[in-house]
Amino acid sequence: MKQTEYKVDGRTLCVLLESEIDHHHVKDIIDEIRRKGNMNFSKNIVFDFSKVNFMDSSAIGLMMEAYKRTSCVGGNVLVKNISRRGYRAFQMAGILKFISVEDSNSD
Amino acid sequence: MDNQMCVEFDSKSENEAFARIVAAAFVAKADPTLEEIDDIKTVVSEAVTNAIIHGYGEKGDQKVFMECSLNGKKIQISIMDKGVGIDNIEEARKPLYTTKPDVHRAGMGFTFMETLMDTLEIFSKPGEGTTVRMTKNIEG
Ligand SMILES: Nc1ncnc2c1ncn2[C@@H]1O[C@H](COP(=O)(O)OP(=O)(O)O)[C@@H](O)[C@H]1O
Ligand SMILES: [Mg+2]
Repeated sequence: MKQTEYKVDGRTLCVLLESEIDHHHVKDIIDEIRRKGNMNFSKNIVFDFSKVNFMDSSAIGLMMEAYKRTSCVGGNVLVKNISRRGYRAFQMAGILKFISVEDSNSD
Repeated sequence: MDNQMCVEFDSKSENEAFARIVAAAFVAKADPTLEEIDDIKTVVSEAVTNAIIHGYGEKGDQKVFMECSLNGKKIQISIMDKGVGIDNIEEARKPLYTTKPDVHRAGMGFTFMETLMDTLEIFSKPGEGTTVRMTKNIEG
């Protein structure tokens, strides 16, 4: 299973998520976002969902945590390449008011 | 009864993936669509995560039980823990209700179980544990 990859681009932290997003994986991803974010003064977080083929409600907790981190420094959260199913889950949880979504897949 | 199985595993978060893969393999005989397989994997992941983090407070040395049965095209999945139990089930079912915002919970677990399955029942008593029972007709 591929690990989540992180890239620092100026004040933006880019997170290329691994294939399965559940509570087990989210714990580690949040720890790493905190560590990298604190070290690099990250203001914005971009999540790339292109490799994700499973997610449960832990992904919503992850987005809420990212929103909390970025909003207090005036930054924002951007989600890329999320599946239709994932988009619907975000919609249901009402988090689309806090995060921006780009290129929603049509699968 | 066409088929039935029961597994018992440690309350470790790595077993969330194990449980949903087992359930997905079990339901395969009913010829589910990819969407239906995702539904089953999601609800099992939700219920097992709840048993581990809420029921057992992330103590990894307890046991979680999962039973699945298939009757024609109808799958029934039950997940049980012998953990702390739920005080107010009605409140727990509400969207966005969580007692653990500190571990990044969103309070959407029961809402997902309810929307992705046909039925959801919760049996629980403080100090005794929790069982969730869900059913779904596989259209295929
Ligand atoms: N197996 C369980 N044992 C004890 N409490 C539970 C269990 N499952 C759910 N709960 C309670 O119900 C609440 C809502 O659960 P859920 O909708 O899955 O949201 P979340 O897991 O994000 O908190 C939990 O925060 C917890 O208080
Ligand atoms: Mg939950």
